[in-house]
Amino acid sequence: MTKILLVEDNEMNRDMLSRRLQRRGYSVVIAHDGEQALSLAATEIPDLILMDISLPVMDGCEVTRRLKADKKTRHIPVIALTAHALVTDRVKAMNAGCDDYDTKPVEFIRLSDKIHNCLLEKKAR
Amino acid sequence: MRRLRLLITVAMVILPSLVFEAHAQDSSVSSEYLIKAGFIYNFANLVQWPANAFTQPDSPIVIGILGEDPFGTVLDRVLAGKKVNGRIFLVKRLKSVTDLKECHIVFVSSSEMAHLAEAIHLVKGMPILTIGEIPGFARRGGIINLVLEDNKVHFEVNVEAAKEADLNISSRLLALARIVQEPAADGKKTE
Amino acid sequence: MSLQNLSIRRKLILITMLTSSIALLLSSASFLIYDLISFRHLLTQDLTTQAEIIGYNSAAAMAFKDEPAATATLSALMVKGDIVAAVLYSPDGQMFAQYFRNDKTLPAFLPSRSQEKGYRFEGRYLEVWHDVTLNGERLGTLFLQSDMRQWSTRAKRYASICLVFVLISGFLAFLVSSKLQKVISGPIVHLEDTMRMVSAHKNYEVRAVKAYADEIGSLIDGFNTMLSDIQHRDTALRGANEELQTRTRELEEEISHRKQAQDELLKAKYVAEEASRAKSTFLANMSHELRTPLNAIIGYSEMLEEEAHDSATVETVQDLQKIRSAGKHLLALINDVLDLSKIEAGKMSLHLETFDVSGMIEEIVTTLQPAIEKNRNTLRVHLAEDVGMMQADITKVRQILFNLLSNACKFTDHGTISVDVDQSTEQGQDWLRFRVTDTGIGISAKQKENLFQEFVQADTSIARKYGGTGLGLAITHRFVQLMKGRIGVESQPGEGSSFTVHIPAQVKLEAVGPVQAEGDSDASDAIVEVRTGRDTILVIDDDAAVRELMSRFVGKLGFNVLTVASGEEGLRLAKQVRPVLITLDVVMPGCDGWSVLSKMKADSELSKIPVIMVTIVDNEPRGLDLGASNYLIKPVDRERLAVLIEKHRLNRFTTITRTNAVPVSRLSHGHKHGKVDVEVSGRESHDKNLTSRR
Repeated sequence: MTKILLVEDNEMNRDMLSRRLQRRGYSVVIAHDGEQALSLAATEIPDLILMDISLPVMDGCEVTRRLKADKKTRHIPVIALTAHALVTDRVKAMNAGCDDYDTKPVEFIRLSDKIHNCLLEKKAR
Repeated sequence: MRRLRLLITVAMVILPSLVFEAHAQDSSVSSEYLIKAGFIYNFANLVQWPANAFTQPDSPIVIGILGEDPFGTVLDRVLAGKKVNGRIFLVKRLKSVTDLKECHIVFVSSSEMAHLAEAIHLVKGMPILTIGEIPGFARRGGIINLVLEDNKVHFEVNVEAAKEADLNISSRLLALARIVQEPAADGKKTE
Repeated sequence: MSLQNLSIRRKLILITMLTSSIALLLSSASFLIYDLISFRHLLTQDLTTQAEIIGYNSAAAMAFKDEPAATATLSALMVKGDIVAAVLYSPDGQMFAQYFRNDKTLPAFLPSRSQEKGYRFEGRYLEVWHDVTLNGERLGTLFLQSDMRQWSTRAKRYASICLVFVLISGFLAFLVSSKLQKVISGPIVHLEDTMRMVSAHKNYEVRAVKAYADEIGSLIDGFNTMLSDIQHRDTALRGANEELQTRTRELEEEISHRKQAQDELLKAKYVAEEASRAKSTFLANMSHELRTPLNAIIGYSEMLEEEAHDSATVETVQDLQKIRSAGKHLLALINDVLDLSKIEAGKMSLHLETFDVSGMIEEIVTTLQPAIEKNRNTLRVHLAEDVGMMQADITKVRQILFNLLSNACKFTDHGTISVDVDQSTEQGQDWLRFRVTDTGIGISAKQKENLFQEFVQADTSIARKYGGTGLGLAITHRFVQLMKGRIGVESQPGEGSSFTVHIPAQVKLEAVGPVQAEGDSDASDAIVEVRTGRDTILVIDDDAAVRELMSRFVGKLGFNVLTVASGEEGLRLAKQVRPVLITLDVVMPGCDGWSVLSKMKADSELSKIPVIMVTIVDNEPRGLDLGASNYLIKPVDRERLAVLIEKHRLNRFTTITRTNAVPVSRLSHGHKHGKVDVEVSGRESHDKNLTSRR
């Protein structure tokens, strides 16, 4: 089963997303913050990471950068979830190494598509 | 030129000696009388005769020597060429008494000592300067008496006699002279 | 004491005395000299006569060579005290008789031989030679020598008399001139006193008294005239001074009033800015606050709906759907309201990017599929050939089109909706035209009037029937306005409507004024994007004139300039505005430049912002030590400042795009639109993703 690491600090969002993902058939690992995300990513080696950009302490971009810097986790596609529609946020996220992004509030169908695409791409590589 | 000069020099040397000779000749006699002659000349200078003594302004001053002429040529020589008030001198040796009248100055030589009174008497009242060299000459009425004293010639002057002769004797002369006064009728002698 | 600096009085006395003394001396000297000369002459005559007399008297003695008599005559000379010696020479030149005043030795200078007849002055003796004659015959020569004692005595006596006389007359002259000099010095001294009094007491009413009508009198007159002139001028000057002071006071008052007004204006401005910021923050916060729970409602209801599909009843599903749709509607309303509020507050800004128009259209169409199908409408899309890229705020354009299209969908049933996009050029500018036409119910003329007003739907019944917030068109209209486009509508009731929107192909931002802090959607850590799209430079200087100058100068360089007067303000504003550059003065009241700089560099948010010190204080090392990028000394060299600002601008570009591996050459164009370039590259990478997805 495809493992998705969900990095989200907001409880409700976390709950909603993880349950919906699970219903879709993904296995979900949850991280509350950046640090947790890094350690879980290293240990769990998920197939995909959904990264909320606005995290406390270490922001999503930084986490992504680290993930991409680490050999072990480099290959994992990261989809950034940004609360803003601002261009610069997108740019920042992409510059940090994210493979894709989506905006919040999450439109689940759209997001599912993106997840599906990223996984496909990963497979292709 | 040299010869002429030589001649003149010689002449000049000789002449004085000639004069000296002459003088020398007279020296024994005339040093005294040379002086006296000079004195006489001086007296002439210092005595004023009255106007009537001379006939003319240029009449000569006649000097008569009474008695032996002790001067020789001295007096002549001394008076030669000299003038007093423009008058030349004429020296006469008086032969007679009458000649006295013509004289202005009468020199009574010592030879006339014996005739002194007479001589004086003769010239009394006449403007004649009597000069003697006899002691007491002036006392006895002569006007000037030449006295030889200590080899120096002095002279005595009888002022009264001069006055009587109407002769004015310069005070200058009187200053040098010894004034003699005739004794008074009472026979007092004052000198 | 220099004679020239003596007082007038003394000078006058001195002059008088000097002149009279000189006159006296000269006259007495001349008399004296004349007399003494005459006297000498007299003495000479006397001696000559004496010689004649003696000669006469001694003539006889010389004739008779009576030496004693001659000597006696000579000795009579004893009575004549002045005769020092008498000698009678005989014609041969030998001494004949002699007389000496005091029976001392023969004086050395006694001639041994007779000399020429006449008189001679030998040394201090008068000597007479006389021929002694008797009746014309030269008997000798008389020599008489006189010491002229009568003459010496007389001369001395005269001199002393003269001296005494001079002294006495000098004294008298002194007395007289002392008295008389007052005629001259009196008025002068008086004038001097008056002058002194005037200058000591500055009393210009005093006048000097004129004593005589001479030059001093006219001097006094002149002086008095001068004094009255001065008096007048003094009075006038005083008056002018007072006036000046009054004016100055008035001016100062005015200046302080103006300053007050200025301060109040500044305060008002800050207050307004604060209010504005507060508004923005409020909006940003509200935005976030409102949406968060709604997202939860919508999200959970969606999720439940999904789960309900499997397990629960249809009714549950429907209920959940209702919740979800209500939530969505509420969300839409909230979004619209917030948008409008933002627009009203003037906080709606444009975020320009270059994007592909057709791509955007495709997206919109895709998203609207369900809405179109809902009313069994048909959609036709037509894009002109030359429609390619556009530079605009894509979100807003999307929203506009969404709005128009969803309206079209809503108000058309079994109809056709067409979307036409083409490009045209008007007045040298490229325009993109979007036309949304439908065959719906149309809009009446009355409805058209209020079409773009908020909260005025055609009528309330329509709202209920057709849904929607009623704000869509208002927002659309505002958005179009913001982008300097125009929107128009043609419609006939029952026949459908056609909305046309023109938007510039290159939407330009314009400077609106000082930066407002803004947040988009969820705001808390939003980077502020300037409404105008220009970069901001913050100027911190307590001198209003400097702020003014900097504002103008930097503004001309193409920047937005914010000026603050204090360090604290500067720090606060810098945090909010995040200027691209800060200029900082050192000498400021309160927090000085050094501490502001330190605080800035210590703050993680601000430390990266380059700071240029602009101050009169010459302490570059300190500035650089504390972290300033550059240090300029006032008065500032504008060229230098411009160069530095440009340098920093370039720096920023390279920093931002470095990680994107975009060749530097790409950045050369579009220099002025800082963010745009960045967006280009960002957009490109985004595009890549999009295409790969397809």
